Amino acid sequence: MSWMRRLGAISFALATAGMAIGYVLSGRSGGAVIFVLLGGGWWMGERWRAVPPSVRRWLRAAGLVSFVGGAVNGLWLEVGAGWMLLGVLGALAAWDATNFAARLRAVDQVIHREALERAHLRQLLLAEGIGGLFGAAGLLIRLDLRFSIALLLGLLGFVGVSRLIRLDAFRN
Amino acid sequence: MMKPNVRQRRLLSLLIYLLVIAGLALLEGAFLALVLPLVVYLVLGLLTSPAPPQLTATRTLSAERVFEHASVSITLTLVNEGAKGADLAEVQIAERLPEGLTLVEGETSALATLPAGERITLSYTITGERGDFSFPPVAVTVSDSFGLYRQARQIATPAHLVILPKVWRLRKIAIRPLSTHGHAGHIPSGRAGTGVDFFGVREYRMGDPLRHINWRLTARHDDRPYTNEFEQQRVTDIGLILDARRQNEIRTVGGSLFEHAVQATAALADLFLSDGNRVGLLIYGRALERTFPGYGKHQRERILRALARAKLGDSIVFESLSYLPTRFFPAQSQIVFVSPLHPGDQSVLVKLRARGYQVIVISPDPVTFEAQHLTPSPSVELAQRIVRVERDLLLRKLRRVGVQVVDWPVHRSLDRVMQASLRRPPQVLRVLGGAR
Repeated sequence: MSWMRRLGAISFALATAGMAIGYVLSGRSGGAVIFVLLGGGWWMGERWRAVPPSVRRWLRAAGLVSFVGGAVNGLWLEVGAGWMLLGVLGALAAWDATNFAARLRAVDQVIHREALERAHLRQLLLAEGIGGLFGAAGLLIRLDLRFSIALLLGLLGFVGVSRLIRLDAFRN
Repeated sequence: MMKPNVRQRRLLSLLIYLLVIAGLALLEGAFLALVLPLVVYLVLGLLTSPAPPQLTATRTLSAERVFEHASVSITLTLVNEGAKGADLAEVQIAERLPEGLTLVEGETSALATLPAGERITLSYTITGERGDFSFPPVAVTVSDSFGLYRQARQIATPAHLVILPKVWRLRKIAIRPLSTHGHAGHIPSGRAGTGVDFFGVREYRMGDPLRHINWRLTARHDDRPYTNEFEQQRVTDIGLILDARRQNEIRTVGGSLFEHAVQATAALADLFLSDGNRVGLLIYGRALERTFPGYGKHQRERILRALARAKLGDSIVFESLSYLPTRFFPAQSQIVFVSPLHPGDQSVLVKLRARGYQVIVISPDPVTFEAQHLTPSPSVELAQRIVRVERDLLLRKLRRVGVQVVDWPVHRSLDRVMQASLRRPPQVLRVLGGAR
């Protein structure tokens, strides 16, 4: 089993476990069951060869959206924020790993597969590490901002993210 | 359709926007904390996205000219010419094969990581039907490791492959054009001279070889000796016309009638050129595609390449044979028309005969060809009989005006059918003038 496939499996487990444990600990077993089913369904869909690529693409998007949505719902229901962050990190890693696997499947040949996987793994771990660190810091550090400043920061965030999304359009 | 990288970025951004809006609306900082891993992922993808790549590609073919169904090995090499450090995290190469070529072995797309100064190579083997193929540019996409920021490039690597039609070997056939050239060949010229076939007897002249003296005739005439004359054999001008009008094409599960006509034309060109004749080709259909008359191996190559490019055409102008440029063919030369024939063609072929051309029609039989792939039923049988009668009538009319017609059911060998239809008449008939 390649490193990326292992990471994919671990990510699914991490996302599902994070959400499920969080919900169980807050006494919402129903939610936990839903996330076990969601995680299991997403993983099965990726593993099952009969699923066409277009369906898998939607499955990946739906998987990430449902886990992030589940985390928001969990925070709203006062489920442990750490578990929710863990769920989001796991879902992001699973989404990335499945996208990477789809890119590998789309070609006839993968040259220097190990180097390619290693580089991808390194970058993903870096993103997850920094993201996890920042996320944890965001949960632990409390800043009291006025609404106007928060709104300004939010707007800046919007503009920044919009630029990030459209950046390669300018490049090309 | 949206590109995959744009789709991924849009999904992430949508989630980020929603979480930020929810966080601001509900004044819940934890929502904003969930955004951070997504933002970091997006930013890291951007930071590691490649600069505009400096890539060169070369494509080498094991052969640029092959016959149908032969294999050709192709090697495609992509080099990262970027300065040190301009490594490309993910490079996707996709080679699009021109329509008509089939992949036999190897791979035509690949994903790789390509450090600066290094190269990746794709090797594959193709085969294909007759045609003239130009390879399109190689599609290369480079991106960061997450596949979020991609840059697509089309790298031109000009390569050309000509797949020539198969050339069948045909035995010699008898053709009798009204005019021949001065060079020795295989076509009886209708004049006395150096040759093999007996032509006549005349009085002996000084210088005639003694072995040609007709001793029997000389013995009957005491006063003077007589000598045998032989018929000169010369080369001639032959114009091949390939009918490429779409209205005459029949395509079934068994193949295309036009492809049979192309192969027949190739075989005839080979036969006539190997006998030393001057051969030209006209492909009549899409337009008037001409290969000017010439001799020898170079001409054979020119004709085969023209046939490789031959395509069916449905030009309204060339729907009938009225625009057949007779000036393309030298006067009184031999014309060989390869066509399934259309009822309207009769008048043009008759005119050609009237202008002094010797005309041979090699007609791939469309009736048998199509009927072979139809489910037998009384109505099919009746239709076949009606069309067969019409065709026989057309062929008979052509024969009546002196056109030599070869009705060729394409499942049979062209060589055999031609030998049966165009066999040189026996010596006695030729002496009596029955050959013309």
